[in-house]
Amino acid sequence: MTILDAVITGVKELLSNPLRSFLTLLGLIIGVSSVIIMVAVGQGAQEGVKAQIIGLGSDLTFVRPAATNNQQTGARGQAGSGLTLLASDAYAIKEASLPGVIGVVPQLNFNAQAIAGSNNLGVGIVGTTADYAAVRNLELDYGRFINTQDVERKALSITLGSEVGKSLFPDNDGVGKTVRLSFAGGRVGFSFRVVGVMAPQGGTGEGSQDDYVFIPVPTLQSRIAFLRNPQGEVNINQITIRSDPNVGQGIVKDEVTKFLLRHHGVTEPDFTVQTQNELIAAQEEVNATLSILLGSIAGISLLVGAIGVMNIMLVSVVERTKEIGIRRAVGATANDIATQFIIEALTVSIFGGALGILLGVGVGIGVGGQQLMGQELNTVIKLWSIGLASGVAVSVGFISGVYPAFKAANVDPIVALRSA
Amino acid sequence: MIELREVSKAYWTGAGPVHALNKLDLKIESGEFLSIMGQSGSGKSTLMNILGCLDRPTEGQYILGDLDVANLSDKSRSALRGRWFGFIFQNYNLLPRLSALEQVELPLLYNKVLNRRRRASEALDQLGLADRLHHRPNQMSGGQQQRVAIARSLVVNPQVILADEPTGALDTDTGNEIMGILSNLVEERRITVVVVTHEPHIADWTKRSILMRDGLILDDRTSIAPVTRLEE
Repeated sequence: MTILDAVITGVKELLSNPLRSFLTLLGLIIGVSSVIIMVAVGQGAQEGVKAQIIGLGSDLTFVRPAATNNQQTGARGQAGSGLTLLASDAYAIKEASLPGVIGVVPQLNFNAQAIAGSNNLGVGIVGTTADYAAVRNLELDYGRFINTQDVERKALSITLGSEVGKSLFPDNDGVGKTVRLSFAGGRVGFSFRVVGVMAPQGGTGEGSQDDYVFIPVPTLQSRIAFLRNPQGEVNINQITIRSDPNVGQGIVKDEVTKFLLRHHGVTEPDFTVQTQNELIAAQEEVNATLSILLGSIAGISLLVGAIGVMNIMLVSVVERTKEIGIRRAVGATANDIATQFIIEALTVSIFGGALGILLGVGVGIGVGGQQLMGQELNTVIKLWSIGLASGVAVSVGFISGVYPAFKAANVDPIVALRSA
Repeated sequence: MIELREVSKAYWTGAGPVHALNKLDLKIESGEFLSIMGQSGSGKSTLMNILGCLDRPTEGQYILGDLDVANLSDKSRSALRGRWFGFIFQNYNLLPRLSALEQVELPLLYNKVLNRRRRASEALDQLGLADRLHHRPNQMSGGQQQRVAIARSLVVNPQVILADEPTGALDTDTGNEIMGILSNLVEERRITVVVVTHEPHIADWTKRSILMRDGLILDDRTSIAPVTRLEE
């Protein structure tokens, strides 16, 4: 009996009991497709977050204050809660012309109410310097970004994020108009002149610059007394450094760390330096865990599908005892019988695997871009997940065919011929 | 052509060994038409299974042609079954889902023979089933099903046909028709036919008749003109 004959025999057998074959297939279809879908969702989430981090700009290194560490109580504050980073640190790093450092900007984050005419909007203020747009790779729609003169003069100039611009000035570009920023529940307020509106940057969450407004950090420093510390300096949240792509981010990180230790006159860093690559790596670690979790759940359903195939094959051996006897009587060897059962199991698995791939890829593409609980679902169909799922399906078919085939091959032809 | 020398077959049951065959000697020449009679439990089915290489003797020698087949591997015995023997059963033993043509092709499949379709349809044609090629067993009468089974056994040009109660499920006329076909195979194609039966009138068709009891041959008679005797 050739393999082709065995395949034809197997397919005929499957077609002769379509409902049972379909139910067997179903387990594998669901198993294979869920592996593909789960991996696609997991990878989609991963690439989404990666895109978000890359959307911050490229070749960036972030310096943040260390966590507060109260010597008396021993209570440790949130990361970045310390008051150790100053705008002057950013200027010092910039003046030091460290190797690989292209741009350095301080960043002071602060919330305020932005009011323009009858429009009123909660915004995030970013107090920074003129280089911010270049460092963060932001583009303008109208006007200009706050410039060096604004910074030096502590001018009341403001550049709006695209969403803020649209909300406050729905009818025009807003350049030259006045926006009032109101702090601390309206107790303090200043009127700023709009000098520009940013182009939409897209993205969501931390990476999106569309919901921010940008003002010179010295303006905040000089105008808002409660932002100043006893030394008259303004503590900032972050220093963003853009590095030369030809210089390793690790080198830049080392240089910045060494410089700031010297500058602060400390031996233990009272700040943290994180490169964009490190951020991505940390996020990937989180997402890899998610992917493994999703993949495992899907793997279990594939396993259940496999058990289904084995179960059906075992039932089939018992049901077809007589057939085995007849085939043996007309010259089939035990091997021929075993081959036939393995090929039937493989046929089910390959067919189920193929349908599972179609379904998995179809659903994977279909749910991509759909909203799920307010979040856009990203899917990235990975070739390796298709390979993995179909590989598992076929090996599962083979393995679940082996034992029933072994049983079938060992059926005593005499007993088989006697059976009803 | 076939020779059994002191062949024994024992089965182990809860109550101890059961000797289905007890040092049995038997010679069958090529072209013989032989019937094996006996009550149930006499060992006739066991003898049939051993002759057809479906079963192995516990002791003794089985010489087929010039080959000792008692201790051959499963693969070799399967090959012998496929090429030397044709089996016919009381309940036809056709596969319910296959057409007549596919049933007859089955032995050719395992014998790796070419032109399976043509040879199978020729075999069915010889048995007057040319118009039943695509019928399934449940679409045919008992006699037709048994003729499909005969075609299946003949398609490999076997040396020996082993028929286990071939008429057991058929009415007398149809049974006689089947026995006529088997008789012709002996006369015209010099095929050795061994029929197991418990019906004397079926045994009357054959030239030589063996009576078995308790795993031994009790009587071995060769009549001169069996067919004419039936017609008297």
